[in-house]
Amino acid sequence: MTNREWTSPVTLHDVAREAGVSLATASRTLNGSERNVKESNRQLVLAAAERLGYTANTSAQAVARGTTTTVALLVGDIADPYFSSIAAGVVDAAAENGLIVTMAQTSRDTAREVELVRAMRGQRARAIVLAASRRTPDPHSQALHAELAAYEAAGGRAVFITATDAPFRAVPLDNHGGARDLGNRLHGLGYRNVAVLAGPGTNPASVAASDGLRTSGDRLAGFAEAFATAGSPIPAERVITFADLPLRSIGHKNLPRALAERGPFYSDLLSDICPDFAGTVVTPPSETVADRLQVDLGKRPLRVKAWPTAHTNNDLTVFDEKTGTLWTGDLIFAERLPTLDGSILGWLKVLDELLPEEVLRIVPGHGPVSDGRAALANERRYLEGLRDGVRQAIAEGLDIPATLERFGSDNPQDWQVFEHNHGRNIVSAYTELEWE
Amino acid sequence: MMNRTATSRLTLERRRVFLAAVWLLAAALIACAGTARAGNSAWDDIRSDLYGPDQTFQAAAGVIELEAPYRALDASTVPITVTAKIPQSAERYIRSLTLIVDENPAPIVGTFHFSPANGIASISTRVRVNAYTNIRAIAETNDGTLYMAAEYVKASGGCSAPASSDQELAMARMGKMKLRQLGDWRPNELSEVQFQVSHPNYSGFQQDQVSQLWIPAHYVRSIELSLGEREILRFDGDISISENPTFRFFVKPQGSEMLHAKVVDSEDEVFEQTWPVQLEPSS
Repeated sequence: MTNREWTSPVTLHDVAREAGVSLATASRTLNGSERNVKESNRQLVLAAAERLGYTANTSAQAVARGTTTTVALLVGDIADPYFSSIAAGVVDAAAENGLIVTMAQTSRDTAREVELVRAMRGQRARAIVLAASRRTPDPHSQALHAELAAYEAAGGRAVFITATDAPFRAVPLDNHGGARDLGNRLHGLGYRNVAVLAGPGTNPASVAASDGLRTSGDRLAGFAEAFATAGSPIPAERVITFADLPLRSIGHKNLPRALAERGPFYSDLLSDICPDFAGTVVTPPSETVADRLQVDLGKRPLRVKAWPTAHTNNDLTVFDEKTGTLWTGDLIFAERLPTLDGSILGWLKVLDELLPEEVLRIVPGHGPVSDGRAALANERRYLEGLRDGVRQAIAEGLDIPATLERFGSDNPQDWQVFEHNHGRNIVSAYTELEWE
Repeated sequence: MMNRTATSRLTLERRRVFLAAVWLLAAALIACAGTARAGNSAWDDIRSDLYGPDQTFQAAAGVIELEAPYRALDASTVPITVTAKIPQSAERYIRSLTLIVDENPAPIVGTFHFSPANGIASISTRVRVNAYTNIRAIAETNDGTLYMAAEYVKASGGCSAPASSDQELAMARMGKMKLRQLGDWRPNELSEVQFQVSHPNYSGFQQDQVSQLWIPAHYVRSIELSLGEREILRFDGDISISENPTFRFFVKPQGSEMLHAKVVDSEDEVFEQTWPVQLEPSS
């Protein structure tokens, strides 16, 4: 490559001068005109173009011819596998026909989609494929249809992937029918209690094609129709729409660091449990709490509290004032042996404050829902016994193996998985209490 | 061996972590087939690095005995005891004991240096174990002969498991030491002592999930303990020793002496402390 190519592209004029022919001859040769060019001149032009590294100016060709070899593909989200598989098909078909695909992303914004169509018109794309999902109602649909009508009037072709009411070509997908078949199949297999996790924009209240993403709405409606027809309608509260909700993940202020330290260990553990879990990614919380936080769910305040080091150094509880329910996390283990990863002394202190009178019900990290008092008392008994036994062993000069031998196998409270975790709890308590 | 530059060694160790991760996965698959057992390839490399490829080892029987739990309950705190079977006499004594955890990313836990002043060169400590592995104790007697004992231990995750359940406490307490005389001490009789230093001993194998940076290693590099004028234990260590390094070993006190400890960590921080030892009247 020469510098010249970078600073100013080789033009048809340059080729004509180099070949010693007229501009018209050079043009006819290189732009594939029907008119005859003398073979000797044609060879001169081709050789000159080769020497100079001439490539046709496709923008200029577009101006001259009113079209290009470009096919525009508009997708909602390039990262979404739904769109990437459509894109792969479009690219293959375009390649077979000597066309090049330009892809643009609407980011699920229909105003943006109108802008993109306008831009593609300006670039004289030969066809525009609109793969982005349709939303109903769409305030920009009229503007879009106007742009597409003007584009087609100038000789372009617009194609929707998915069904549309608009007067354009479409490759319809039977989302409604497919989902209805799925519903019938599941119902036929005996399933009655189903829930639906619906995509962005669906309206769970109506259980019907409605506001929102048309694909999701159609599928939900088809699926619901199958169950309703079969006599098992899906209640509205069983349709959960999550993708449009702003997602907040809240953790204890120590959680990010704990995840950083334990992440690789958890990953190894997960892939040990099952190779399919390999590659699981640890995601830190989007917000952290150092002490207390009130979360407003709309007349449903939740009180989030971060505790001092107890079961771990990142224990968090959630209290629902309306029902008096406390999600204790692993601060309470019921029936299953508590595991000590934080501080035995800290945990016992936390138990003193964990269940004030306003707590009517607990959802423990392990074990059944209850009022929590008996579960807490059991757990306290275990932790106090562990503390006192290990303290005594340390005072007597016993080392870790001797301490394990003394207390390692006695399970008077009949805890589940005792044999897996009790010994580790002793080691954990020992290494804490020896620094008292 | 332990004095190689820390930086180059760490880079090497980090590379080995990734290899270790691959091996872990392989080990998990093998475990599914029910034939988990570590091979000897890691040891071949370690042996060549430490002693050269031609070094031979005597069987440990009659010289040392190694005790390690077959299944470790807590991979970050695996108790290990090496019991010496020969007394420390001026003519024949164990000069050093090296502990090795074959499958750890940094396999050499460290070397303990003894003298005849110990009376017996037995020691208990706690190590991190990252994978199902052989653990080795290699004793060198004063004539240069090496004796090796090995035990197989099932544990995993010790090096990337949390260094401390309470990081703030660990940093606030760093450098605090504890000395404990176990049982009655009498002049010129075998007496047991426990030494501990509070230190998080960060392995450098934890990665911050937000910044994707490695949390830097910060660990105890050496511990020197002396009684009066005599050095009674020197430890050159690495990241495979557990948080809050703890040693139990023996001395023969000669009188009312001072026990002095000097601890140096990888940030070149130095911690020192002195205790008077309490002796019972000689019987």
